[in-house]
Amino acid sequence: MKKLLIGLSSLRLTLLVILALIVVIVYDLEITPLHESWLAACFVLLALNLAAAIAVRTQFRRQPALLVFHLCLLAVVGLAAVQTLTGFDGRIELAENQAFSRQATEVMQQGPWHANDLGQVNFVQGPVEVDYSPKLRRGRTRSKVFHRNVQGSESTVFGDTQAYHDHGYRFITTPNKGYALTLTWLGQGTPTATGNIHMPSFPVREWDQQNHWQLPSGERVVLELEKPSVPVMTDWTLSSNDFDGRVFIVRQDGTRLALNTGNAITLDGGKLRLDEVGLWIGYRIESNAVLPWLFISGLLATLALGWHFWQNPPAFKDPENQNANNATA
Amino acid sequence: MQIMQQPEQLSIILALFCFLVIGFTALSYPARKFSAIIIMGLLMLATTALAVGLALRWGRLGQGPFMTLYEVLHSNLFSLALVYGLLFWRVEKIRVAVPVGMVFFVILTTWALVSSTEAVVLPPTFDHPWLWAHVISGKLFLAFCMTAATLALLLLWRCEFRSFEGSVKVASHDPVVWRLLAAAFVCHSFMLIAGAVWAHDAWGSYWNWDPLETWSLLTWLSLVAVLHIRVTFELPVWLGWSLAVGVFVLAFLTFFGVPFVSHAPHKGVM
Repeated sequence: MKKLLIGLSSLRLTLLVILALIVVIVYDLEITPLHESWLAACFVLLALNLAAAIAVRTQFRRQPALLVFHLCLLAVVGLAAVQTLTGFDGRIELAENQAFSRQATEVMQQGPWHANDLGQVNFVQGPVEVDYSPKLRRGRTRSKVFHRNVQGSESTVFGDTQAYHDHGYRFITTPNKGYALTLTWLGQGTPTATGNIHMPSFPVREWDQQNHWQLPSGERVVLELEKPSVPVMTDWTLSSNDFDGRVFIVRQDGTRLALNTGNAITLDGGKLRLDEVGLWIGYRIESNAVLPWLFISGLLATLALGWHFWQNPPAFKDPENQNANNATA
Repeated sequence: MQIMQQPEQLSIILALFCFLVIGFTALSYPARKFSAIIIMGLLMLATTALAVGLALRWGRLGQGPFMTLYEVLHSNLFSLALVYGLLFWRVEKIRVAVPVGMVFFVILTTWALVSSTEAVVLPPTFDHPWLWAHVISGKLFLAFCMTAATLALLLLWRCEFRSFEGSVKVASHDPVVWRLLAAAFVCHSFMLIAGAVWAHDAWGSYWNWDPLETWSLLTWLSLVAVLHIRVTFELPVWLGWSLAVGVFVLAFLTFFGVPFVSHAPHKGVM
């Protein structure tokens, strides 16, 4: 067992794994994406090597700062693994006045041990505003949400580097946002249905403000927004109040029907009403319970490293002294 | 090529002049006390000029130098000159490498002078206190790494052209190279942590594997590898110095190449 530990603690193995890690990262970034298991294998090997070194190498006992640094590194690798197993990363687009829904969330990554509390998140999206300066440079984003707590209903405005926290999940605004059409289908003999159609991101794709939709009657139509005005050379704020244009419904036969807010048009099998034109905004949703510990471990590792080098600057060999020592011998 | 679009560029021209005179003085009068005083004075003058230039731009635009290649070059020239000056004052052994250091300073200064001074509005994600910690530790890392690499380059050059006895003499400077690399390693580690905190608040994730993050990690890993190689093997000194130069080349490409060719979030998403 001790032999195995000594073999595993080898500095040559450390170097080999670090070089392997470098190769894997460069290959993944510059040549072709690799399966995550390659990276995980490198980190597992590195952690084993580090743990074995801490267990058997005496220099760690002689140099406590170096020991703390390596222990913290081990903790960082371990915590990153715990995060992979328990964390959550998702995306959602919400239109103004739309309630958050677990089902509408696109899950990017969810650890097998993640305590799935996303269903308890309960808020309604309020108004969204995004400031722009000349040449369409994005400024501050302000997103208002309404949520219930023990005191009743409350609102929170957040955006950019300020996140909204709910049941252990962080909601952070993304640069993705655009116009959303709230439409109601009044079918003949079918139940009334209301929903949102999100137009492409705005103003990034202001030239392409259309989307396809299959009506409950089965007909496929194109929904097109009358080109919203974009002041390119002045400061302005994107908000749903700005839009005063019309929406066009382009039918399969090419017929183009204009629709104003509050109005309805008759189509095959029912009526389509435009309730409102608002904005939608994209969120990144993240849950990571180990993050504070990851930060503390990383910071402690750096401090210990600094302390170690401060205490032991001659840890590296000095060829001149070595030469002098050889001559004396 | 766009030279002299803004008054603050005068400060860069003055700094360029200082670096050229420093290089000339160091080559003409090496190891003289008066040349060290002149070099110290000129380094202080260059640092002050660069600081004034930065302050002028900051005052005019109302935002820090974080966005464009010109701003990154200008602010790095300031921090490099400041740290190099302090090291020149405190660590006598780096003084032999001043001519090599000045070649690097002259290249950076000329690059800054021919870069576009057009301003780009700071994205709201850059308005964060941890950005400062991230940037300052990054600049310290680059300064220590640059000083180590210029000394290593000088030592390599001397080893190549002088006798074995001479090479053993210059090898007495070897520990300085490694201590500077060790300091660079601490700063780089902190830069990664501070950057992760900033990224977490700015983009919702502390690590996104974007090109700049990935190349920063590769630089950190290469530093780890080089420091471990040094501890593990009885390296010939020339190989150790070559590795130190290699780490700096990688760091330089990461700092001044990757952010300006990729569309990573660091550049500011529209």
